[in-house]
Amino acid sequence: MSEGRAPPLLSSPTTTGCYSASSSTRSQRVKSFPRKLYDGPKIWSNINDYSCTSLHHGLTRPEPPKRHSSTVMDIHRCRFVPYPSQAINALAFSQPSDTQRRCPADQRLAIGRANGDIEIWNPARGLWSQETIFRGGKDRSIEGLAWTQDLQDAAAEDDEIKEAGRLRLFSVGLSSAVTEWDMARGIPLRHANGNFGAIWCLAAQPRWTSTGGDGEGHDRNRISRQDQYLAAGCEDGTIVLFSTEDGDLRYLRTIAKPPTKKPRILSLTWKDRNTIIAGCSDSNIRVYDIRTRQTLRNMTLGKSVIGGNETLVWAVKCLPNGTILSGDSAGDLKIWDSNNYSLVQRLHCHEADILDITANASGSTIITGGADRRTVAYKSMSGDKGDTTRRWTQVMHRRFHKHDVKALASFESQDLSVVVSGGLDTAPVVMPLRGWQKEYHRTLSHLPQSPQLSSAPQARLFIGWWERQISIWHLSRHAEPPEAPESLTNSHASHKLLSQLFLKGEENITSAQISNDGRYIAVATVSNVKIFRLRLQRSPPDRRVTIRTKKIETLPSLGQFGARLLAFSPDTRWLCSIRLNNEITLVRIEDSSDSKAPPHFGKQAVKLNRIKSKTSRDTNTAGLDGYLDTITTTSFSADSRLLAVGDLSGRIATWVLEGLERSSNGFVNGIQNDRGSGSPQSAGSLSSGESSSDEDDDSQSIHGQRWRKNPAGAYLPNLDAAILVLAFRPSTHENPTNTARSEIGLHPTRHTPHPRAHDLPAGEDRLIAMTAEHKLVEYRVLQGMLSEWSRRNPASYLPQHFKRIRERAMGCFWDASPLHHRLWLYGSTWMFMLDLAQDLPLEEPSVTVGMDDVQQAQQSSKQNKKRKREEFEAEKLRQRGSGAGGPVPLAESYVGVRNFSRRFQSLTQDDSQMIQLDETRSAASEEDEGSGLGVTALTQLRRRTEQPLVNGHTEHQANGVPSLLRETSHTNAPQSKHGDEPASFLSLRYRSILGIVSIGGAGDENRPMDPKNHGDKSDPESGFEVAIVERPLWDVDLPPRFDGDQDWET
Amino acid sequence: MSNGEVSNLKRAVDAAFGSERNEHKSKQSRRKRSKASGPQQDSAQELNSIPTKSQTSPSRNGTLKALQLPKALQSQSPAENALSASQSRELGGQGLRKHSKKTSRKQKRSLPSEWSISAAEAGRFIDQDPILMQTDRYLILAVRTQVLVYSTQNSRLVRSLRLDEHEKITSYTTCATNENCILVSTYSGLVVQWDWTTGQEIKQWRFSAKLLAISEQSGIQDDTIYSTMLLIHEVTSKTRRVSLATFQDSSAEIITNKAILEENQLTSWIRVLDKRRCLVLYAYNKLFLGQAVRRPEDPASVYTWREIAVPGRITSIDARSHSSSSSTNKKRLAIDIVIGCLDGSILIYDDILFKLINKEKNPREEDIASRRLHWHRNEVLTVKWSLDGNYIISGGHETVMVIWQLDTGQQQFLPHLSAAIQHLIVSDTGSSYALHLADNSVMVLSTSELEPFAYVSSLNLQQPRLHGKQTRRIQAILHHTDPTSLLLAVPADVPSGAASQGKATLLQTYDIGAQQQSHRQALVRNNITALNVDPSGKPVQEPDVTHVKISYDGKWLATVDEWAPPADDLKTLYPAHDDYTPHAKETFLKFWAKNTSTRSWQLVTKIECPHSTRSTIACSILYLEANPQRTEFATILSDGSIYIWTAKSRHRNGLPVKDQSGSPLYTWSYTQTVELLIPLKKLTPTASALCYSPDGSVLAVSSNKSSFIHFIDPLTGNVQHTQRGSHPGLFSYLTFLNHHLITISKDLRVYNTVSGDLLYALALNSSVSGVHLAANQLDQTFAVVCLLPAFMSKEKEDKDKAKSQIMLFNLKSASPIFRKIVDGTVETLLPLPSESGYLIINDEAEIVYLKQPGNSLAKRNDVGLPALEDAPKRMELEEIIGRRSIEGAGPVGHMVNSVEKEDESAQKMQPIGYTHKTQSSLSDVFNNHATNLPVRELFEQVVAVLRGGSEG
Repeated sequence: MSEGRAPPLLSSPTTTGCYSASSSTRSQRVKSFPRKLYDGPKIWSNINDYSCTSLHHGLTRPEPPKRHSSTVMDIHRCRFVPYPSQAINALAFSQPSDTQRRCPADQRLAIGRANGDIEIWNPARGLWSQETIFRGGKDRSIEGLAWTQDLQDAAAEDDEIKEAGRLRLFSVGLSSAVTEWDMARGIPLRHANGNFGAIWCLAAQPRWTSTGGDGEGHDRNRISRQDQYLAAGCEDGTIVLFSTEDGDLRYLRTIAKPPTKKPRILSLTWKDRNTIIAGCSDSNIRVYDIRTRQTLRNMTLGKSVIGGNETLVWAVKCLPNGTILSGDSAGDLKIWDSNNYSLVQRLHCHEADILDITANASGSTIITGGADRRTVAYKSMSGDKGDTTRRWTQVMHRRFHKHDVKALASFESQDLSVVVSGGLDTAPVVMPLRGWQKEYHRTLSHLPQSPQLSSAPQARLFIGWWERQISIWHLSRHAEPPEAPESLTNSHASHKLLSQLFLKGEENITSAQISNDGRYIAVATVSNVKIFRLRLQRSPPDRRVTIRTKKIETLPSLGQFGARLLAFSPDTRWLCSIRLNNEITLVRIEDSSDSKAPPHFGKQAVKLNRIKSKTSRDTNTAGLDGYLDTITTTSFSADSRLLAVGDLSGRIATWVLEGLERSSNGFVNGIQNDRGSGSPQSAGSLSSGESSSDEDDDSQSIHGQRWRKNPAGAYLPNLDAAILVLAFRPSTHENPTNTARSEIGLHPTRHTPHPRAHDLPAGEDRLIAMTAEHKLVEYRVLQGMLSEWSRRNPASYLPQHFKRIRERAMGCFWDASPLHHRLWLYGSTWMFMLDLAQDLPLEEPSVTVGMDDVQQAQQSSKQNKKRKREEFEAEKLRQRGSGAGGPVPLAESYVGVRNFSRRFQSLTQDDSQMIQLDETRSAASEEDEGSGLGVTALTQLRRRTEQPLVNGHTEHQANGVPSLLRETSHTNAPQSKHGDEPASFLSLRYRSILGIVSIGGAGDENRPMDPKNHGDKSDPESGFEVAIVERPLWDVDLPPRFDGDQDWET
Repeated sequence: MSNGEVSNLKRAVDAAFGSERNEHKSKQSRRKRSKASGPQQDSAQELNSIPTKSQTSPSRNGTLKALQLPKALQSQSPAENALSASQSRELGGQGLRKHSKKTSRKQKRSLPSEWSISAAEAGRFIDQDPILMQTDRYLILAVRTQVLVYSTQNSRLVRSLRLDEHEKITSYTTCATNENCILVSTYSGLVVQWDWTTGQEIKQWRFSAKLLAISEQSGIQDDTIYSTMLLIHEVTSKTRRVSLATFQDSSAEIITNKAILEENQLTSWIRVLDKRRCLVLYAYNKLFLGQAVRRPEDPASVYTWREIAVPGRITSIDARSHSSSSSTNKKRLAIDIVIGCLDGSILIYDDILFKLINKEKNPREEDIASRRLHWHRNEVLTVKWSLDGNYIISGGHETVMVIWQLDTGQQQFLPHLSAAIQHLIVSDTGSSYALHLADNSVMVLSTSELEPFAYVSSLNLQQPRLHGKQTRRIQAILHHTDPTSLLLAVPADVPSGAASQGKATLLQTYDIGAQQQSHRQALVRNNITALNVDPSGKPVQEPDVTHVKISYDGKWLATVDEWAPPADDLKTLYPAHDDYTPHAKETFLKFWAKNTSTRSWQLVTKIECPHSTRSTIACSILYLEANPQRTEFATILSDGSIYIWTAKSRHRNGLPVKDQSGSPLYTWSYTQTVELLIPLKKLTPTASALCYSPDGSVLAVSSNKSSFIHFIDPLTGNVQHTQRGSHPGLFSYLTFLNHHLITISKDLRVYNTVSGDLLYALALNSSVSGVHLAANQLDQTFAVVCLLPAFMSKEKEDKDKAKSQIMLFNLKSASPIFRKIVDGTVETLLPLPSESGYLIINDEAEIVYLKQPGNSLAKRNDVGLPALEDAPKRMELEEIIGRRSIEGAGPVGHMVNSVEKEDESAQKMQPIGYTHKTQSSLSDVFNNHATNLPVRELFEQVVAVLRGGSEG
């Protein structure tokens, strides 16, 4: 199925009846393997590929599976969702380069897009995860970004030393305003406006340093002013200074009066804290002193030779030694002397305009990007660093992008050393800077990290949302039984766009969800939340589906506040909305008895507050205070009685719904009606003063039920990175390992000797969490401990091929049955299955290998070791790398020299001596192996002492020979009851995944809850279905290229 | 630049050059004679003498003479025939004397009546950078056996330094001590020092190992000037060894000779930098930097080698050294290396040696990085530093010379050169570039204006390695009226890259006297400077000129070109067929008229896909032949039909259409079609041959699907006679010698077409594929060249190398009067049109002559053809045909060396009842041609009629 990556089971030579699965991604109904031969559980069955227009089902209809139909997963491959990816206009790193330090923890990359979105990426450890998106709105665009950092008075009395304070992000759009963003809430904080033209560029003053840079000696006001100014270049030729003093943003003064011709200021940069360089549209570069407001120098580039047009100076930058760089519409990189402002060198390496310039920290490498799609690197020839006469040469050019390269940003630290480039092709490209000849570049996903999709599996609907619109699709069941020939005629309408909702107002949607039964859609923007009711109708003759939507009035406490996240509970009784201040609001959804009448959306909203994290923030991340509390993911348990949220700092908070529902009591039984937490006043802001040790009796009881803090929630530790995925396990009662009930029986006595303990939910409480570092843990939420599986399978046991994946997880879905608990995780380019009913295979040969097998084990372990060693080294290198793609294999490097040189004198070369030229590339460090072994030993111990999870898997481990191929041992091991069920499976078949939603079937929550029904189900078509929504870059509409030359792919 | 300009330039100095060259030739031959007694004789003896050498030695001549045929058997030619033949020879002889004084002078010098093969001329320039000497006034190039010195003032050859013909020059270099000297190394291990200004050989060394390259440096130690040769030997087919041989300049004695590096895959490129302090070599993707440990002047110096691997396969390289000053160090020498890679990228390593040493000392030093420039799409064939190091000049298959200004990143292009750039040098003065192009030409350009000022071009034949696959022959003809013009259909680019396919697209006119290309023009479209890959990356196919013939008067040229789309593209169009090519093949027959003012050929008539009306499948033209007496061409097609093409003057409203200069315009059309009889109709032939009799009255046809040879009257289109000829499945190569028809299929047969007798037959003990057959009417001989089978070669190591046998016959004897086995294959055998002898082009693109130098025509008449005068009577062709029933035409056992017995039964032939008009009368001439022909041609036709009548 997925070429080369599938377990051998799938690609075994016995695929005689196979429907040409591997040959084409376009095959319609692809069956992965013949069921006659493998009538055991299967992973895949069918793929509906909507990227293909002509569907002919007759030829490739699979024969119906004989049994274990529940383990069949049908895939709808959807490429019809026209998600509009937006061009990147601006890039900014929050912290300046410092090669002496490691990458600071509050280093973030802000990406400004053409629809006004600002994405915040965390480049930590080279993992590049997208954390949040600050949504823009109608007709907004981000044209420039700048970060500043406030300085706080340090604890020491020395007033010259100040600590780094809050990081502040500023943007300019297509207006005359400078916007400061509220990092914590993701909305604009304040604007500064003035009577000048639209701002074209923005540059922040270099940070004040106590040591002082080269221009700092002249700064007489050094002590008095330590904040950063912002300089904005305007359309009418003025340069405006803004002050960021006192946490404010104020117009300070206009530096440059527009000259008579009013050239646009296209680019700005600070040479030092007092000097501004401005690139103008009249072929001039002007140098200003901000103290005297005088033009120090006017450097003229001259009009272009052809046509005599003015040369547009798109980019100016300064090197650390003051050397001025300019990139212009002629494609020339010009290098100017910093002292006498004379042209030193002119390099013509672009065939079209240079649009941005960046340099490395030491100023020995320059990178330019241009409208010819090229990214060009220059290096200074051998010569002293301070030597202004040194010459520059082009060292290479590449075409990483498919369209203009509009923005570049570089960052260098001890560990991270990258250039990020972005442009009209919407995908940021991370290029190694220090290791530019040793590492690959890496293209980050152009799609959002959190899937902008939601599905109603029961109604076979799913929605996709972007900007101010929501589209609703219906996916019809494709796997009709062969007895129903009419399916052939229906098959062409396998997907249908039912409706599109366009929101009024200017704000973009932050989140939209459809309830599981497909009756409601909740939409949130930064200013409000709206609920729509859907009425699905099937006209009988051709079973065509139509839909009607109607807006429902909502509570002010829900509707009048913006939200960043929404979630329906699986039973559609609760709507959870995460407000911008990370407050959690829960609303009960009450169906009215009359189907025509609108449903009630709980007259009152329940507000839940998280415990303010007690651990004092790392001073490293002080600049992002508040921002890290941003909730990024929520999850309801399958019985809708547990709620978990995870945030960027790695914290997980959980709540339980206490008590049994007593619907006869009416809607609100009025126990604690008087607590007016539904009022907007208290909801408006995060109550920082709220006591962390508060009793959780503050929420109302609705129908006799009450949300309260999970009593064991405090035992859940903070994870070390942002939570990307949270998911409760679907409950499967017939699962023999489910000991939830007995444990819940223990639970109240151990932790909460509360009289209402028996009212705690008895369902499945195991919660899977995956962090940005791809650490996977599973908690028993109600006990505040790791689950058995997680104890036996620490994150280091995840398969190597999964650990190698760079793209972060976007989401997950479950495929649970009595035999397996499959967790499917996916990122933008991969899908990964993990069967939590099985232990992960051991990476290393077990210590309990029997004596008979020693020899064999040694042999295989030698190879295993070798392979593992390589993988380990690759992993080390990745971590040591500069944050872009992985190390370039020696065979593929294209510049520099290979790793070794050989030196010899004699003719016979027997005195030859290998000299290593690049230690980082080959040196395999011996460190770090101990910790892994420790974990292994502990896990071994656990696996042996504890009960086997599902079957005698540990025995298998003990008896079995560690085989060369892990997948083989687990997919084909006959001694296991799980026989041919793989414990894990990775597919790289699908690219540019916008999201995966489950569709149709019995839904992943119905079937397990109703075991009888499940047993009766012989209908093969009730199998698990998902829709993989892809949005490849080549489908994204790009504007025509200015430089149409050289259209071949590079 | 256009080739026309160059040829103009050449023409301007043509006359002067001719004498110069002749003087040089005489010098050369004098030198050769003196050489024979010189010290080299020993060395020549060391060579493995080719076994056939003894056969050509004088001692064997006697036996050859003894094999002459009995007179009685030769006496079948009519006396009149001989008479007219001698007349025509007289005519030809006068013309010859007019044309070339050289020959007569040579004849005076030479020994009489000995056929011999001359030393090779022309040839392929060896794969090495050319050398510009004496402030770019002289260009030194080398072909296989000689070093050629050209003057860049007039692009003329001023001197050739010739080695023994068995030597193979592998490399040449300048001398460090004396700039008038060059060193030449040969594959057999010979190193010769020549003074190229005087042509004197100065010194000679012989090394035991095979030499691939040489470079020389000098140094002074203890007040003695030492010179050191760096030699690259071939140890095995893979391993190369670099050795240093030092000799004192005053004597030729080698003082030391020691190996310094032995490595696999080492290429023969070596660069000596900084007075031998540093050596640079490369192998595949590895770079070897040798650093002298002690003073390099010391003959016993040792080198420390550093080997680094670069990303990508090296296809070209250049190194330079310059002094670099850095703040910390005092002045030191920096070595910059530029590498062209297979993928088209250029890597530049600045100061590489210093960085490597630094990195060894301190591993934390900055990584060794290269600069990477990428413009070339295919491999970079040559790359050079400019003298100041600010520029890089590179060239490749794109036929564009690229000048990279490193400081600004600007590129300067010189596009649309005639072929891929194989070698490129910047002269020592920096004022000129010399470009060795893949079409076997060298161009010298000024660096300032990029204006070419010298152009040297030789025969542009395909490389032999690709030729092995093709059965197609090189199309070459000698101009009848301008005997120094050799016309060849050549590819635009010698195939070595992806773009070129070796299809002949150009007509090259080569002046065999001046040894220069005189003109070149395209016959079909070619892709040499255009976009030559299709969207899928495959090369765009070019048409291929398959036949070129020139009319008897040299005024008309007929060409045939074929084009077939790639088979992959046709699969979808013709799914039902296995073989797609015939369906989409495009065949053009083109007639060109000579434009006397521009010397170019102008297309007059283009006939597309001839004869396609008769069958759905496109026909290809199997053979094209020109009538030796009339403006007439004959073609045979793959459907077995023969067409006779003649020119007609164009008429409009009854008046002839004339061009601006007032000469009438012509158009070509066929006058006769001949459908060949039974066997050919059913089986469409794939190979065929046509041949006109010398008087143009009979056209002989053979094809490989029929064992008959048909005789056709081109005027009427009647098949006059049919004769059993070749073996089935093979076609016969045909040629007429007077009224004798010579055929070769498996064996050589000589028929008297008048009597219908088989004169003699001779089994050729060789493969038939490489057979060439040509007859020279002037000396009444015919020559046969055939490829010797590989097992005939005695030397094991040369087993893969083909050998060809050249045999010369006359009509008298079944045994050759001359025989020689030569290395390589012969591409073309052409009779010299106006003198005795043959021109042979071999696969090395060399021209050799098979000549009887001492034999003047008059003498030859006396010696060679007395027997013909004894022919008893003139025989009318009617008589022949009338009485012909071929029983008597069987082979005569005693006069053949070996007879094909098994074929005897097949010799029977149906008598053919055509009546044949043997004589063209004067009235025919006047009726047909008088209106069109100028007086001179008319006269010639009248003579031809008279003569033809006499010949029958």
